[in-house]
Amino acid sequence: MDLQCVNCFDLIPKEAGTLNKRIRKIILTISLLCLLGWSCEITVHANESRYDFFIDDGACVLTDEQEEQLRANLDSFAQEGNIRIVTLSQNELTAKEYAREIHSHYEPQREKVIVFVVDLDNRQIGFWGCSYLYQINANYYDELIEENAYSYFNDKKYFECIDSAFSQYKTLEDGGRIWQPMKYIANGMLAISLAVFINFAIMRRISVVKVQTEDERKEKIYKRVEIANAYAVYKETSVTHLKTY
Amino acid sequence: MFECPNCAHNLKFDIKAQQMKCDACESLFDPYVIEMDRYAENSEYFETNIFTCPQCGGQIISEDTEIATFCLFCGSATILTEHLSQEKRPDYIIPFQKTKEDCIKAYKKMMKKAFFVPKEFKDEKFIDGFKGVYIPYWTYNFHAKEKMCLKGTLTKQERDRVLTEKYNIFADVDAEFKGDYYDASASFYDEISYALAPYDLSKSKKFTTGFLSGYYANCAEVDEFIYLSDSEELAKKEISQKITQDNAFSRYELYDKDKIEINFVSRAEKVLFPVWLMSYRNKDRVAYAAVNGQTGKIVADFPVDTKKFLLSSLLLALPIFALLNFIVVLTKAEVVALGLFWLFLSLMMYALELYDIYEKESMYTDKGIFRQTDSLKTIKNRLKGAGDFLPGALFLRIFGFFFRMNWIYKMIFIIGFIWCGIVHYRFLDITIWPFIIVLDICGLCSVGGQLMKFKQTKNYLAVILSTVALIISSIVLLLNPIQVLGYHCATGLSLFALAVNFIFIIKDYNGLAMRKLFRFNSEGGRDFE
Repeated sequence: MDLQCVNCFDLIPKEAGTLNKRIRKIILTISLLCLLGWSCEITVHANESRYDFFIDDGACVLTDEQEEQLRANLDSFAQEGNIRIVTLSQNELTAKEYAREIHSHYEPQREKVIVFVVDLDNRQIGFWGCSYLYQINANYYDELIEENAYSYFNDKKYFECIDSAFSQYKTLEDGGRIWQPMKYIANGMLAISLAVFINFAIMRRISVVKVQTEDERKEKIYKRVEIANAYAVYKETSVTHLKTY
Repeated sequence: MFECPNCAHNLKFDIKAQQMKCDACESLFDPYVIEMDRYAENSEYFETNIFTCPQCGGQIISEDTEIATFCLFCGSATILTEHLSQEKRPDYIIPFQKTKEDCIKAYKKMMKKAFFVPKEFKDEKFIDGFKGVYIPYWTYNFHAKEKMCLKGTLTKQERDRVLTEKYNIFADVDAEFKGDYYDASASFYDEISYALAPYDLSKSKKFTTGFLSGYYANCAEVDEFIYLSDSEELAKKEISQKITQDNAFSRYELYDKDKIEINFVSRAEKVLFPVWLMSYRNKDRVAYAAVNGQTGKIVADFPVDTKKFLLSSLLLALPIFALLNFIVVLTKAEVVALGLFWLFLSLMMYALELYDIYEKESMYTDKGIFRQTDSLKTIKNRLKGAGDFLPGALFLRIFGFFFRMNWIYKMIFIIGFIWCGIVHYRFLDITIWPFIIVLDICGLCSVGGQLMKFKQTKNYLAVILSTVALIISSIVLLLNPIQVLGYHCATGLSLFALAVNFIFIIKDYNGLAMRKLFRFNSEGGRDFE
């Protein structure tokens, strides 16, 4: 089993070099303590596929059994794409932004990447992964999965929250449907509004009466003009000189 | 009442025969001959019964007492006061050419496309209520025979200079302008009379009372001088144009064409035009259906049955909803933004409608009624008022310009808007939200401003609900929570405010489709309300 720290950016030195034996022992002891203390942050790379599969429980919301269960449940996902599950107790970004940042490290157009972030600091969850399934509306489905999983998050059932999110994704991937209340509310509102506007437009249109224009009215009026004995009387002449170049 | 010389039964003017016809023996008589028998000599006046409505002050000339219980102009079932009067004879009359059957046929054809009118409008008994009325019109004739002076120039070019010779051109001008007509009835709305036009004056005949038999006539309450200036101005403009285009002046380049002075001698003649008229009253508003008795052209007001309208909208919404489920997906924030956008559209529609209602009720374009009032200043002040403050008024004008533009340009704009939405897809993007919020604020200002011109306070509910929906939706969009509940609340509020706006729009639409009644006080003038 390979161990790899994700949050720690410094690698553990493999050799103490030419240092004193005592110092070497101290460093090893400290390292062991660190490893034990940060055991919750240890990521699990459980499969042997070419894809990444990380569960980074930084907020320690999952037990070991739950992590194992998740690994087992998501094994099929891991065979087909990258999975990153992150829980945070501190986060300066939003959960969505954090998920997007992780997602951006991959090439989602070429391979499946699913990122799920549980942010206890901002009390948010962020799901990012539907862009592999949908060319458009990906954001909509990501948000939909978040909405449906949020009730578990609210009840502090983090394992169920993560599991629910992935099972919804699976449903979508298999061509199924998931609960979309806002879609029907929005379409209902749109449909009623459109229907009223259409009817109103019809109503206004049929009540328009063709009125004769001013020109039509003038045409129907009788006009007669007779000119006789016209003559012109000269007044004056004005001269304008043209410019020559 | 005219009696048949053969059997003493009633004689009525028969449209098909264009003569007076006896109900009993069906004999036909020349109306001019019948009148000569009735009146010993040609008189400038004729004696008749005049029925006056106590509700609207409308006066109807009739020898038929059936009219005594119903006013044709305000639709009131009331007892009309009757008195005998000597009325000045009109100069001409255009007899009815279209029968009542033709009128009803035209009406029924029109009603086929009136989907939302109250069911009474299609009731046979109601339709039978058409009455033949002669509406008085003033026709103006202008004649000028004088020596005129026009100013013109001749231009010649000589080498490096241009010579402009100025001339005074004199000519004897004999000009005539005939047949411009205006509605002389204060009870008959000018808007309807303009819509019923044109009438062919060449088919008019010398007036005789026989033509009125079996029909009604309205008294000419509008003085001939009311429209004289308008007609004279038109006559000057048209005759000036004809003069300047005459071949006698083609050699010259005329200037100061709009300053040509023409001294007309004017003559106004009263002519009775035939109209088939029906009225429908609902509380203090009246809807009319009128048919040109000569050409058959029909004009009708289409009030709306609110329940019918909303029910049909709900039915229409079902297939649209089914279709939308296949093609539209919006995120929860976009739904809220969309709700705000629809709210804005409904507010602008309502504001425009209120503006139109106010313009219509002010009646300042109807000189027949307008000039009956005392205070021109009062009317002008009412047209201004607090409702025109910025930014509501300014925004209303911009939106009104789009709303009133030709339907072709409107379609181009809408298609362009939808195309942008499809190409960029997310036209409800987060960058657009502040703009939508600002639009809603402008919409609220527009509606609030227009409502201030009216006395009804209950309509402010639309503004209040829309404001609450706007505030809640703006907060939700700003905070952008994960929980759906906030979005549901915001969307629900927007939907509710939208529904209330629509209900007000439809209910108040009848203010536009129908006409307000004017009261007639005991002194004989009219109060403008």
